[in-house]
Amino acid sequence: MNETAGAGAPARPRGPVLRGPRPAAAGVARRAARYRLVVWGGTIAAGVAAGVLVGPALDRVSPDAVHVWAMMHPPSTAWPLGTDDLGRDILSRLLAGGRVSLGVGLAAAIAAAGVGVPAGLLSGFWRAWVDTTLMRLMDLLFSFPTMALAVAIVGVLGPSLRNAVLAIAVVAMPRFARLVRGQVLALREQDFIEAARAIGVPAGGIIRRHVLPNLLGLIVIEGTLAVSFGILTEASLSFLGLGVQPPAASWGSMLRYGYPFLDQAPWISIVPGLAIMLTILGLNLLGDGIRDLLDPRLRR
Amino acid sequence: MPLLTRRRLLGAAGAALALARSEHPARGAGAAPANGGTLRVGITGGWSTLDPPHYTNVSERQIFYSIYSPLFSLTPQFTIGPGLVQSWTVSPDGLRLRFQLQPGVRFHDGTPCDAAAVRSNIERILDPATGSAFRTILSPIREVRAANPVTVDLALSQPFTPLLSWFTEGPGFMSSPDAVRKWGAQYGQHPVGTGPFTMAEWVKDDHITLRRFPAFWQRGLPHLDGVVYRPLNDETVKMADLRAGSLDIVDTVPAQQQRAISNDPRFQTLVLPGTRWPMIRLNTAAPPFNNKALRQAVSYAVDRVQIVTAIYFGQAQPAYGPISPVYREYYDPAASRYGYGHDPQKARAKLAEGGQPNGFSFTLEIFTSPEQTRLAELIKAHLAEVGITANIQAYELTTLQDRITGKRYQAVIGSWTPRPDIDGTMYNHFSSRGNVNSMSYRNATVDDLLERTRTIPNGAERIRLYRQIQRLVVEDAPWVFLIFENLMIGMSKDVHGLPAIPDAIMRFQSTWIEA
Repeated sequence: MNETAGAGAPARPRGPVLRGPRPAAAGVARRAARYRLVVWGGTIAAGVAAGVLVGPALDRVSPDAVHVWAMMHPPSTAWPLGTDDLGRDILSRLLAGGRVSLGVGLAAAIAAAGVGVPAGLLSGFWRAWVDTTLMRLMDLLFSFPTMALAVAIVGVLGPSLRNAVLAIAVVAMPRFARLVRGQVLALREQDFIEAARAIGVPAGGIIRRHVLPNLLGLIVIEGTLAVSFGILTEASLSFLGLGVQPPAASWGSMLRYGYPFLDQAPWISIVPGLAIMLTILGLNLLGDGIRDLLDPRLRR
Repeated sequence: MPLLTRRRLLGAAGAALALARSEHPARGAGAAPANGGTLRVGITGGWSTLDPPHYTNVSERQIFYSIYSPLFSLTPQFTIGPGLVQSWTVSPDGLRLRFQLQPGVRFHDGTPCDAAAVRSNIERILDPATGSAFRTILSPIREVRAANPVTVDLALSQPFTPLLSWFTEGPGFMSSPDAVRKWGAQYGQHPVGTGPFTMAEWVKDDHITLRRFPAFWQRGLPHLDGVVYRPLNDETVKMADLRAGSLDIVDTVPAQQQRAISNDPRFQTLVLPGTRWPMIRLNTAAPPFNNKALRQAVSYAVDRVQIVTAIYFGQAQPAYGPISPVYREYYDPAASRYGYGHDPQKARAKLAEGGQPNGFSFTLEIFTSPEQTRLAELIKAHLAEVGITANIQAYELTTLQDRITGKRYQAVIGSWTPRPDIDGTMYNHFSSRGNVNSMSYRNATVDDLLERTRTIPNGAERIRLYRQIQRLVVEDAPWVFLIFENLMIGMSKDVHGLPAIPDAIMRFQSTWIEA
């Protein structure tokens, strides 16, 4: 593999960028549009997060309480989002399940970044055998289809929420490592790093003070995408029965167990499906917006 | 007792039913069967081998009845009828059996299915090198002899009442000895039987296509030109395919869809009451369920009537013992009096008796299917009412199977479909020598009685013994008895001539499609 191929975000081309003068108003509009993405995305993500954090405390019905007499009740005043196939309140389950889904997404993203970012830093900064070893390892992980790998990991470790988080972190990790490595390879050739090295700043100090701060924005963006990847993958794993264990809910498991009743009680699966869609939309808008705002080529 | 529902058009009964629903007149209801057409079948499962001595699951058994003919057939009354064996005699001591074979039967490869072929098939199962799970079942057979081309004599070392009923399934399917020799270990991929259809194409995990066997020994049959089997494990997809007309028949209609399909004039259904029974197996060799009172406490805490309503949408009946009504005279309605009804009061008393007055917790293992998940969630709610905590743990099928055979579980939800002789259900589960007794259940009296039922002929005495056995097993509660489910086969209204046999297998030799 050469220096840039396959890296999550290749190094930016340096040198003069040839562009004509641009009317100021158009530039402002463009930036405002990007800013709007961030606001929209942030609002949706924050709203969902607040809902699942505060919601379960306010809710009056236990998410696991079975009411057989009210099975598959459509949305009504008593059951705002209807009941599922065992008469459980879908609103309560949605809020409780959201904690699981978002929690898994966040935990997996943090774990993936926690391993992937240092790996990328080491690889890019020291190159040589460290780079070769770590990157071949990442290539190995990358060569599997992500879902197949996640299913295999949970299959071996046994289905549980903790193992699902672990599996998602493992499959999300190589993206962080590749991305960070690519950026570090470009950064380490820059003059300010050269200068730091020349005055005798130790390698650890250079990474900490000069390399890492330059990568933070990128890591945050990749992080938001990893959270949404985590939510989706947990949904897929739960859909296969490999995620959260019943009767606890996650949005993915609600979708799975509502699906056989799609023609009699569509709300059982549509409600969590919409929740997943909305959350992913918010996170992706947020990530895209931040990336656009931070992109130096677009910052005019 | 299979019920006729809608217009299952078998002769006059079918015609009468069709008249009763004149708004959807069934053309050709009383008419002669039409020849031709290909039947598209959706079934749950998947096939690894079509070699009968090595089969592993019910979806393989479904196809056996198209490719092979069994020595004996099963009647809709779940009794034994003639098959490749035209008539038979059993000596008074039950030790010698004589089978008269249908003359002139040929395998798909043209070789004769005569007494020598039957002997070769039975000896193949008895040969330890074959590695068939049926070997122990046929072990009472001491000698097989071909007296003449159409007569087979069996000599047994001890009387064995269930033997003939085993010849209606796995061990009873006759393979061409030539083909078995030719293909060796690959025979399971190249089956050659005497059945109504021959193998045409097998695309792994996608479909199996069978073609009409023109020299089938039942003259004039089959009516169909061919059958295509498709494995569809997602019941929602399977039902959508039936509705869209890309399937003609499905092996099971899920409970929640049974009413909609029954009321849809495009379809007819065949209901087989009590042909599948889910249960909870309790490991009697490990805590907490080595304690009989705690097993009984769980049994009393479960609300079977609610399970029938909520999980099976009324398409089931509560089970108070292991013997389903499909076993007709062996079924004992008295079980509902001495068995476990929903009684939280008694459940708490049993908890106290078992030394756990404040309840206890255990792990309830399930297969990751929506049905088992719903069932487990509801049972968890029932047990919580008396202070018992069930922690549900889902596994995929092969892992769960390993845990069951390795007896590494506390409680696990399982499911059973009837074997033609009640011995296949009772001995296998509740004898300490039973091959699926993963509960490690052992009761010396039950063991003795089960051995005795194997040596006496069907009749009042055998019935009495089984009633006694059921009572002892219910008292010991190695299973939490749950329900007997009504299985429903769903098909297009144009499909006719499907026999209703309570083993839930679809047999297509006399099936025809209305043009």
